Amino acid sequence: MRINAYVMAADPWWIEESVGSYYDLVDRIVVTYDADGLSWTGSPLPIDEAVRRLKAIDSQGKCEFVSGRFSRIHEDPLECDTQQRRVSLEAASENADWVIQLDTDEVLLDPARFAEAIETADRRGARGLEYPARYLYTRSSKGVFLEATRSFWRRRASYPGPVAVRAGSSLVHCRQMAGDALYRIDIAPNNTDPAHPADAVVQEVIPPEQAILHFSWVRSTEAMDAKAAGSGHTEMYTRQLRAWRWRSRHPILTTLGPGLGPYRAWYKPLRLPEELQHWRGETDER
Amino acid sequence: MNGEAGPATDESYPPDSGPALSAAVVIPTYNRPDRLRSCLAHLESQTLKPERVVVVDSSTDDRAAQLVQPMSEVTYVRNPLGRGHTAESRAIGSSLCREDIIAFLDDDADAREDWLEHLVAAFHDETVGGVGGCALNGIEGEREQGLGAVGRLLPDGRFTGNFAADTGRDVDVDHLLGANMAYRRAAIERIGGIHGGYPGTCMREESDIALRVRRAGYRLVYTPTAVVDHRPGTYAKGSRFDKRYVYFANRNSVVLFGRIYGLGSPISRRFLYTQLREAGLQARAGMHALLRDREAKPSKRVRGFLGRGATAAAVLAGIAAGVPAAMRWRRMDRKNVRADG
Repeated sequence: MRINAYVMAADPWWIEESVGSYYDLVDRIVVTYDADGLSWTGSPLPIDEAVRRLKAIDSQGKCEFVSGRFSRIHEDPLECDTQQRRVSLEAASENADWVIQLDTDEVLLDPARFAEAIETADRRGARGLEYPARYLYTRSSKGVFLEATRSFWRRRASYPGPVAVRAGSSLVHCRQMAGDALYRIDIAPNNTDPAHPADAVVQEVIPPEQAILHFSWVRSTEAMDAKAAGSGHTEMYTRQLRAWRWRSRHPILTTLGPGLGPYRAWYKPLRLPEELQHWRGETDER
Repeated sequence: MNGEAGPATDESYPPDSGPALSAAVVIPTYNRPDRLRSCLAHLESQTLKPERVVVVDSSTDDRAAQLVQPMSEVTYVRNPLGRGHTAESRAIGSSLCREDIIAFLDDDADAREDWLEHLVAAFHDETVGGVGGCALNGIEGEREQGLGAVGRLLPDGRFTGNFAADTGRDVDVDHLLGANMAYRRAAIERIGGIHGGYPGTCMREESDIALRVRRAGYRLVYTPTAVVDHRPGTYAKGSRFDKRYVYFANRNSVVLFGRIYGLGSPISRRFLYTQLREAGLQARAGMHALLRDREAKPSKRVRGFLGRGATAAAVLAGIAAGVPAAMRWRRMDRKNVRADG
């Protein structure tokens, strides 16, 4: 099976860990970025650094860099997001059966298992793969992460959309595609994502150790401010940044009860292996 | 005609043919001679002629017998057990067949003319033990529904159907639809024949064959181009989705998992958890309808309470009846294996 990927280069945080986690699975990686170095909301992005870091890890020359005008400040940022993804997916679909569409802060914990899941989804006739992501909220000064959970600290999966789609698929909103031809994997036989109905179909179960780690909010304060400004979810981020700052300073208090995050999430502490505790950019600085 | 004709969405159809495979068709029937007449008429125009057609009749009258009598090419046989024994009818019919492939067709399903050709073509892959086709019910959008989840046994013990979906190519599945399925005769023999013991609405009797054939190491495939137009007739008793359906779905599912995997197996435990939770949700919804829905008329609130409560009760009763039945059948299956061995 021929697998390609696309990456939207914008935010360098976790980019090496993310792309590196599936680099060996794919034949080609289409990297798109805004030619003016702007975000979907028009704020400046460290695109040069993101591209430089990708070039540094592209040992086999798999990356193809494509610039475009993706920042349209008079349009809905999520529409810009969708538009950039469509362009990226179309380019990545060439000579591919499936295309991975992971964001640069999403890291595969078990790439071989992920590839197996794509093959199973293909055999089952699905057009998209929904693979569970564990949502990491912040990291304390002692290197302990806070993972969003269901009530009473039960693990939960989250789904930003299909993280792999059949080549040539059409996206209707961000990563979401039309229709319901999805193959959905969860970390338990019954749905664990509060955003889905309780009886949502789960087609396969994997242990949490094989899921995706989504380092969504795991950044420095400055990087979070920049992410909030440049994201398609600007309004939500800005509103919740204050709570994030407080929780980052008070991780123990945060794990004691339900928080104010999306879906009234609870949090549990999580210690990751050494190589995943810090983004490579932080290590470089040290 | 119900629905759009199954488009030949994969240009590789029919696949390269290997050695010619012979095929027989078995049709279980119960008190629906008009449907049976239409079903047999559609078989006559097949592009691949079945070498044998067997009608297994468990009707309470002789109308099906009279219908079939002048058809010399059709083998007629009685199933004396009567209603609620579709699996036994399949077993009787398949025992009369010596062909490589045995296709099963419901008496209320009209096969399109290339139906058997497409079913048999999928068997040229030797890893395939069973092939299911598409059953169109004339429901708008059914060809697009559930495209990524055709014929799945989910980890929580539920089954998905979606056997009308146009997947565009053959896809692997976990179980097949009894109205339109075929098995390699060798696979049926390898699993020790077809299990009976799924009474009432006969839910899950076809899943029993499918799960055991898969367990024996074969693949099951859904091929969207083997199309039948399913025109469900009058049900022997009740309507399709009444409380009996809920009861037997639960009772027979417990029997299915219990006798194949054991009642203590993970899939049995997960199914019990899922269904007990479902009963709890139904009961809670019933209480909500009665106590919280203050704007509704009292009679409607009571009806809502009773309806949900009855569903919850049907789930629980089905599980309660299924557990001892599963234990009994598991013992009997083991005895039969020992006797055969």
